[in-house]
Amino acid sequence: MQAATSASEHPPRWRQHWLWLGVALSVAICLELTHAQPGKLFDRDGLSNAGDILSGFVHPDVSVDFLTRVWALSVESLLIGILGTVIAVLLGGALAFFAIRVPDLPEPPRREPAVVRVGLGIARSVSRLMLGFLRSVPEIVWAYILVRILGLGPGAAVLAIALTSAGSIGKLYAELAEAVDPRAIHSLRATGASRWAILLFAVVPQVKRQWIGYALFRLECNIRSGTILGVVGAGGLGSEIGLSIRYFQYDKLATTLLAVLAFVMALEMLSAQLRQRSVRWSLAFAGLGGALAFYQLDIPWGDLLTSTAPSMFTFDKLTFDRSFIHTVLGQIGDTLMMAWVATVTAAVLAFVLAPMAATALMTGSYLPDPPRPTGMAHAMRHALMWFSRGLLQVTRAMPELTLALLFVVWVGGGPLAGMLAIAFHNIGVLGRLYANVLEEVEADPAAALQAQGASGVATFLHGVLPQVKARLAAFTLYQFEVNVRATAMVGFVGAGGIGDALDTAISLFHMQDLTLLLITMLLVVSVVDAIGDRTRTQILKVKTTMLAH
Amino acid sequence: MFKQTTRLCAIAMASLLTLAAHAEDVIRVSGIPDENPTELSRKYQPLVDHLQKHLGVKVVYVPVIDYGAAVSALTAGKVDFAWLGGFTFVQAKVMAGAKPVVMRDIDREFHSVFIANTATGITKPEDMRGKSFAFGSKSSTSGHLFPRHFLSTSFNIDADKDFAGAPIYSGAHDATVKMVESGKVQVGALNMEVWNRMSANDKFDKTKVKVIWTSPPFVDYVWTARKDLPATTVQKFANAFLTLDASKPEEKAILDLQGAKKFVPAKVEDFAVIEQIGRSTGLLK
Repeated sequence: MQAATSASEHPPRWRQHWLWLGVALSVAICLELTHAQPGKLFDRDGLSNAGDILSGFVHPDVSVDFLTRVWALSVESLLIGILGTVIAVLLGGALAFFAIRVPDLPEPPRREPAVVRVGLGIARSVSRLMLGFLRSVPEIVWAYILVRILGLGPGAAVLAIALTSAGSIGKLYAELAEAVDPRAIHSLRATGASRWAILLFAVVPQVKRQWIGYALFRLECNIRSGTILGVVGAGGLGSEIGLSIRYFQYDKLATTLLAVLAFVMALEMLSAQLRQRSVRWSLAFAGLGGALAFYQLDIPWGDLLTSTAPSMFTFDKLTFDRSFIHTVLGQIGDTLMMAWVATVTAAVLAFVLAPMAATALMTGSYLPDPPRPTGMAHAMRHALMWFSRGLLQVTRAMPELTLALLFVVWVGGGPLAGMLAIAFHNIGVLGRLYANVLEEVEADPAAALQAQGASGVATFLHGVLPQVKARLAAFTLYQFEVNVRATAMVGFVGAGGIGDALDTAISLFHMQDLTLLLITMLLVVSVVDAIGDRTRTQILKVKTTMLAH
Repeated sequence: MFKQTTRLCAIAMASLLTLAAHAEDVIRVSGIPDENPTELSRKYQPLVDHLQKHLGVKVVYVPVIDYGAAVSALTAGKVDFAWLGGFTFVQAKVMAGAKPVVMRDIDREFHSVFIANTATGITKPEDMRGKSFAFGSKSSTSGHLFPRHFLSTSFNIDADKDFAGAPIYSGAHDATVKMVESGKVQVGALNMEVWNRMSANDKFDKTKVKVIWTSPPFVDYVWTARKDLPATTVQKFANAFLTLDASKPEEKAILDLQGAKKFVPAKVEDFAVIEQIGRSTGLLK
């Protein structure tokens, strides 16, 4: 493997240049095709709009009434995220149990009857398809539909988060379980143990830490979603954000956004703590938090079964209206191009910021016994490090949809606002992923350079970067896949892409259109994922399951 | 897990029971959120009090976040009556057989207005082509359906192709005025009644926004009942509106808030033209 990676890490120079040229060209073409003009960020209107938004932060609304309301809604958002994640883990975990392929021995001592094997095979395919479908429909689509059934309030957000996350969680849980050391499975197989016994006693003990780790990662994402799904009436802070933007109340907007930042960051710290402790702590947190949320949110679960709301899906009279297909294809194209431009832009910025946030490169050293510099330059490096850490933190904490709302005010509706929203959020997401990769490098090559007095930049470029290049590329590609799904959401707030057609179909009760759109989404997401999987395997020459945590 | 399932069942049962109990002694009403929540509660509270007094039962106002949610609430039986626009009424009728009850006198001959930011120099509707344009909610009758229809029939403008970029949907009538006032969009279309009320209360800078066109009349807003309500309940509800008397000061206050002189009975035939235009513009499928 070593030989293979080093060969692919050092392609001839000209090939690398062509690759970069190709990426830059593709971004330019995408900008042209989506009619996005980045100049709008800083033209006269853009600057005055940005000033309007910022003016709110100068004097945020801190009246007692409003603060009380924001506090209550923040707690609601938090509980939405927790309960949604707990249900998602239960649902996704259950589906994963059926979806996992357990390897058989070449000559098994006892074969199950054909009926059972075929049954399991069907169950596996069905649960894989279910997971794929759940994953490819963005939260806001579920939330919007469920508000119609459950009415205003947090119930729709909890279920929306649970459904979408269950798809991601189930898929990853199954992948992790299939990647375990097969020896334990083989030895249980030899004793004639059943599939379920093997899963429980050979697979789960090996993966439980990774499973919990991913659940905590999803919890952070879901709390972010919980703060914005209210734009379609699904409880939490989102309705305040939506209304304050619609009516230009920037003082209220500022207060609400600061609350989002505070809550999301507090939860990230908590989740970091839980990651370091034993699995039992996380389970206790999930149990207590889930129960508290369950009682506190008071969701009318009964309505799910008794509702007589008109069904939003229909396979009746699915017609292929020409102009509709034309719109959908255009918007799918926009969505993919927006996701691509956003990912590349964010990757470039994160690539600069992540090393600046790393202790070993900025203020510390890879040397076992480093010199201890002092003075102005050193203080500057400290300041720069904390600045990049802060920037990565803030960009990550803001959900894509909230950012999309803000950028629609700043540069007007359309694909540019969506691209900016996805890119801004991803600076933080990719920055953190890159930083994690940078932490894991072998210190020797970097230390050798530093011992000769190489600068931070030189150490990074020649000592650190060659080790991690392939993994950085793989992460970025993975994030592109995530971003395709996220870009499908921003259209709900006027920021371009397929979300616009989804929004129209739901708000005007065009059920045939909605059904066609969801099928299209499933296809697009599956194709993008499949291509991504292949390319990543090419880049890394290993299975890429470890990417997601 | 097991405990949670039991709890879920218990809650499901409990909510079924409360639902059954509700139907007897509470009337739930809602309406499309065509203005900001503060204005809506200012308009609805006196009305809810009046209904409560007149019907002798508890009346609860159920807020919703968008036009479609008001339609679903009615068709799903979560509310008994809803104040819908002409187009949202047709949606509720087509999907779930909802019935028209009463409407304001002004709803028989309602109008949309097109407004423009004065800095754009736009003075007549012909100047709109190539400018940026805002509708209200996608499901609005006077803020989307009829403006789109008139753009096409009176001015030969295709709303999706002939403006600068795709049209913007502000979500509510007052939000459209604010967008045009701020200059974020150059032209917009909205409900004339909201426009008149906002003008009378000086809710925007009159040097910045001007009316450039008023539409021909069409039928709009209507109080709508869900399909399976008993006829007597619907009749009592209708009477509560039809007997509103402008010569009594407290009842006049209610009428004034609604921008009406009196309420009149509504007939389903009145809305046939909206259904037809809904289909021709592609908004009703």
